[in-house]
Amino acid sequence: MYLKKFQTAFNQTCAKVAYLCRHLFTTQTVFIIFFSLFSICREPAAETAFRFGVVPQFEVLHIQKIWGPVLTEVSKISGVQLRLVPSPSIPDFEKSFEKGEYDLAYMNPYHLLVANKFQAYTPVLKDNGRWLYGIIVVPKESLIKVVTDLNGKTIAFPSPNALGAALIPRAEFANKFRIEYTPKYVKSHTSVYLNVMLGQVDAGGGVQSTLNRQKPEIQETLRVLYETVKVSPHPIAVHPRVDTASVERIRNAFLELGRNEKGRQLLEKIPIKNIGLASMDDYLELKSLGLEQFYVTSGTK
Amino acid sequence: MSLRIKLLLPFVIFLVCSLLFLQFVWLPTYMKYEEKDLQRQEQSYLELLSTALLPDLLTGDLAKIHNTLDSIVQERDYWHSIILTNAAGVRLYPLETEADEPNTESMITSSYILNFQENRVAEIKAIMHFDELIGKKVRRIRMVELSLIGIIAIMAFIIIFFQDISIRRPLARLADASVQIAAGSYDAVLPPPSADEIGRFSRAFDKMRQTLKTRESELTRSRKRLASIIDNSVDAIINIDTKGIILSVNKAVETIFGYRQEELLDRNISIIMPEPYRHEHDGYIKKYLETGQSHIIGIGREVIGAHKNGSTIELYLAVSEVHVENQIIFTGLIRDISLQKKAEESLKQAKEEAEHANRAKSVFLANMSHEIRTPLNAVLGFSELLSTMVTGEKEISYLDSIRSSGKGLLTIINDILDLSKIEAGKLDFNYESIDLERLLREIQQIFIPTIRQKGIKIIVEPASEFSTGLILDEIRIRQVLINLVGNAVKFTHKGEVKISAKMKKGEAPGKNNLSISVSDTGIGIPKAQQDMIFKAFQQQETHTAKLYGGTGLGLTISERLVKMMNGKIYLESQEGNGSKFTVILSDVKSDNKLTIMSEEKNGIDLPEIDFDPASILVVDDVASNRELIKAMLVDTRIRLLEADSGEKALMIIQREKPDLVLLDIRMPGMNGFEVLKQIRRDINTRNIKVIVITASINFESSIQTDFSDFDGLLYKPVSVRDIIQELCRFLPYEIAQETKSNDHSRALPDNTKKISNLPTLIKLIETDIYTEWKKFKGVLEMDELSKFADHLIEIGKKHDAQVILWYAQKINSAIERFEIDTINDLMDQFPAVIDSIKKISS
Repeated sequence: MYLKKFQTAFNQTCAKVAYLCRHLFTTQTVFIIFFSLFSICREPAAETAFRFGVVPQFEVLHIQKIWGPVLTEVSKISGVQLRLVPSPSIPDFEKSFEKGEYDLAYMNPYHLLVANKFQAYTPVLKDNGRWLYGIIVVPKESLIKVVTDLNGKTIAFPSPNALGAALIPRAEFANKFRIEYTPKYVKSHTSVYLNVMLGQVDAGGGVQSTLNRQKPEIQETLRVLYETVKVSPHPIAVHPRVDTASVERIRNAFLELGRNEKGRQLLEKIPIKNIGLASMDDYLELKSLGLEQFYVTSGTK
Repeated sequence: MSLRIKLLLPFVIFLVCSLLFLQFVWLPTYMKYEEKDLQRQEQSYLELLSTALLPDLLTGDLAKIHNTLDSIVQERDYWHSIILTNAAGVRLYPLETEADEPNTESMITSSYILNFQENRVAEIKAIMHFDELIGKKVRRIRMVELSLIGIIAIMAFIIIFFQDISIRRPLARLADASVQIAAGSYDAVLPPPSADEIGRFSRAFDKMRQTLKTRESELTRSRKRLASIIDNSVDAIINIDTKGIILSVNKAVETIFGYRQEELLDRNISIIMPEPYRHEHDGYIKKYLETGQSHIIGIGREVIGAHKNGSTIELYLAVSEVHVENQIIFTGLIRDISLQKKAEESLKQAKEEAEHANRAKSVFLANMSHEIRTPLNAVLGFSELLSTMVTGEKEISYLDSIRSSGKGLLTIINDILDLSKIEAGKLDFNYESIDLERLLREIQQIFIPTIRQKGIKIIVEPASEFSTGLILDEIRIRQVLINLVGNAVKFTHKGEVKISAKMKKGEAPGKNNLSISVSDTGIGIPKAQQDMIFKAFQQQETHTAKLYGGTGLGLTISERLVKMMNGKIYLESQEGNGSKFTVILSDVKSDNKLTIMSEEKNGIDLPEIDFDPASILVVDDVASNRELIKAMLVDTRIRLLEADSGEKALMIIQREKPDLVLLDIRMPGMNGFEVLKQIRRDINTRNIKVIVITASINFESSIQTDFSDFDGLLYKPVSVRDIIQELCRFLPYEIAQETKSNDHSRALPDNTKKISNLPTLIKLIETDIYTEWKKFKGVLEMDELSKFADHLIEIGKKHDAQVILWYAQKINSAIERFEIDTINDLMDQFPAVIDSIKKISS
């Protein structure tokens, strides 16, 4: 325990020194020497800590803030070292898990499908307290009453791959309602709502949670036209290389967290209301939606 | 205004002006400028913002836009609001339904239109209010202002404090000292001498104070001295203003006017003036001030003053005018001249007495000359007549002594009379054109006998320019030259006497300076005596007078005469080496007409005159004088009547109606003038010619009657020639034919029969007299000629030879008158006279 603390502290120190050195010394030799030293020092730790990836729904620091205490706690409980590996963007994250760079990862359900397909990541935990679904909002006074009214209209989405807000609705629009529309990707949920509210688009795709977080004046002007199918929310998936014992210990540790108040509070921020076990079966329905054809890949895809 | 305020005032004014300027000029400008600047700045920011917003707008990321704008609105508190509208005019931001348009004037709206590919995308409008922002800046500026004011105020205080210490207080102290000095106290404490200008001022002030002190004490001393002078002045000194008000007086006024000093102050000056001056005085001053004409300013004059007791005082007043600070003050210096006046009065009296005495002296002199000349006339005349009657050698020699002494006496009297005439300024000059060269030759002739005797030469060196006549008084020039030449001859024993004359051009045209010099090789005159010889009665030396004789008046008379003819005599002489007298006559005019009167006169000679029968009345109270004239005219065809008084004369004139009257002026009872008046009054006698005979030298001045009243004038002693000449003017006569052939016998008195002892006479003439004549002929030495004539008279009388007597008298007469030509002629006639006597004998 103390050793780990020491190691963490040492690692941090090393990182700081390296940082300093990068700035202080210009010669490559010095740089190499320090890096060698750095590598030597961290090598033993690398063997024991699992790399934990988190989908960058939020900024890196926010993620660190939410996930840092959770992983620390889980590591503490499980005795398995988990290390949060930040990812600057969703495409980066997607690339990383496609390459199997994470031992464990918290990702959206569609990512799970992809990760499972490419690296055989399997879900072990998910929020059993809620479902993931998308909503289609229109201005309150809009004449659009049903989804099919949206045919030929412009619909705003945060991004093409946003699961609840875009992927599922788009899949449904195409497969289930078979309507034609002009999508407009406006980067964020709030933007979707604002665009709808200000009449920039005829409708927008979002999720209930984000709508709920909007200012009352926004919420007041909007009407939920449609709710998509409900799917299991974001799972914590494990790479097949992680031994089952560790997976078990980690799973238990999360479940342990869900059982005590402090743990729940920590999980709430993720947000996981009621942590529970998960399996690939929970995501079969999602798989059936045929989302991949609507998924917009970047980089390799 | 005190120096402190004066110094502080600029600061305060500067501060106030600065503040006013800052507040009302600079600050508004600054605010406006700042506002514009901010607006510009914010506009560019807005543009930047818009550019930043463009991608989000294009993607429709309104949330991000909202976030960004929210944060901007929050961050830029002076941005009241941002309004973002899309191309369709739909407001994208903010969400508030109510338009948040600027509600105050201070709000500034800045807008920017976003275009993408030339399509309007949106318009962003920022509503800003800089009041607070600028207000902040202004507050900061105000703070700086206040600090500046504070600093300036502190600086002003410090400056004023130091000024107070180093300038104001020393100045105040100096001012106090000045006041004290003005009050007469020189002991005021001065500021300590610092090294600055105030210190210099202080030192200079101290020096000035010392100087002032010294000067004041000097002034006091001099004022005291002056005051004592003024107070002790015997003369009164009075200052008055232009209104005549007395400003100051000195003590002397008390003595002079009897007023006390304070009684006169502030009174009008007329108080010390008697009437009528009292009332006229103000008018004088007024007139002077108006016209500048004054009878008294700057001129001293005698005035009459009024004494307090009412009496008048004779004063001498000198008034001067002084300008004192635009005020005119007249200062009168008044001297009491009553005593002086009295003294003057007595002096005047004394002078009048002296003048009276002098007049008495002149009268006495004139009388004396008359009294002396009258008997001398008789003495000479009768000794002349007597010489023809006396035969004894002893008697003849006595007679000669009487005659020569008489003549000497006459010369002396003539000289003295000449001198007294000159001194009395009663000498008349008769200027006429004369031939100078002839005159010089005559003078040469006069002295020839003497120089022959002395063995010296006389040379005349006339200049060639004397071809024309010169306007001169011949008689006086002759008198001067004869005197000078006579002296030269007298004092020269060997060598020569030279007479030269030349003209020198004068200043005026036609006028020249005539220079005649007489030089000799005689004994010369010692330097010491050269100045004395022109003074009356001075001769070179006492023994010289004894040796050479003479009255010593000759040079004096000559000098005076030359002076009166506007000339001067110069003397150059060296003892033993001769003398040179130069007569220079200024402005001598030339004339082409030569007066030949003298020649005409000389042409008529007495022996040639043969008067036609006529009657002449001789009026004289002195019988001897009548006898003399009778004797003189005895050989003529003239009938002589006699009267011894004026009354008798008138009776005879009435009765006889004579052709001519010879009238003596001075007679007891009826004098000559009265007789003359009577003659002229009577229609029967009016045309009778009257020749006045007088012995008085002052005759001309004492004449009351018009000159036209008488026809001729003769001075005593009268010579035969004078009478003949004068008679020639009025009586018809004939000139003997023999004149031309130089035969004078017919002109001679025809009384040959009376000559006694003729052969002896002829013998005497042929021996002694002839030798004597030969000796004197051509030598015009008057004394010698006179002796010769006297000798002739002596012989003539001895032998009762009238012709000789007549001849000699003529010579004497000519000598007396210095008629050289006549003398020469007479001398030339001598052989004819001898011939006429010889003819008698044959």
